[in-house]
Amino acid sequence: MSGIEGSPAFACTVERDGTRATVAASGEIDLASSPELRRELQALLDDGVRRMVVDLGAVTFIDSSGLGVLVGALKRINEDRDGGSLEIRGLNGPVRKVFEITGLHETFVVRD
Amino acid sequence: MTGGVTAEAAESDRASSRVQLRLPPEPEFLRLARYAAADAAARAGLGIDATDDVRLAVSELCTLLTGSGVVISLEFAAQEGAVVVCGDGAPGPQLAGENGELAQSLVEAVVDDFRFDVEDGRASFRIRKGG
Repeated sequence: MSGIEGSPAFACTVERDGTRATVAASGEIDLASSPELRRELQALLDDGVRRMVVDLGAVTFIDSSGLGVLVGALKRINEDRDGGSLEIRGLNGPVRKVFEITGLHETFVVRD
Repeated sequence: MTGGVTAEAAESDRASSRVQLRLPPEPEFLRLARYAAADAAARAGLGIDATDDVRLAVSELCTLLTGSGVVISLEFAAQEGAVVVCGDGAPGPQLAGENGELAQSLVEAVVDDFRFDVEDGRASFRIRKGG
């Protein structure tokens, strides 16, 4: 998806090391782009990833649909009960504010 | 339903900086709604944090009207230090979904005044930030 100058559309990259993966998202996560993030996270979990880091440092906007994707991934990891984890990194600006309003900054493991 | 975006600002509206926008109720147009929200906040002289709040609120509310098949009509009114945004459309599947309540909770948390009504198959909202 192409971006508009000054406000990039959503993109994500994955670094994988066995059962560990870091998903670095960028741009805006909303109803248009959250399905892509969901597919990425679920595909990694389907493929055996158990320790996941989601880096939101380059995300400039997230809404309730984006939060829902992250919560869904966390629920699945917790339900699998095989020692998996999901960590959020890079919370800042308006993205951090949305996590704090919803209390999700205390639900997830958040690292700076 | 035909696609397309229309934007209007009548001469009589210039004094109060009122802009109307009609969007297809599809997710890919949420970003445009956020741009318009940010523009209105900037014209009202709101700061960065308040602008982010208006963007979030407008985006969340438009999300609730997305997927309905009914065009979303938005009106942005910017005055000195305040933005009022009114929206009209039809309820989409997100409203009854698991994120619907979360979306409205987020809006309530970031704006100073918020109203959302659903009646006879139509949905409308009004938010105010500042003022």
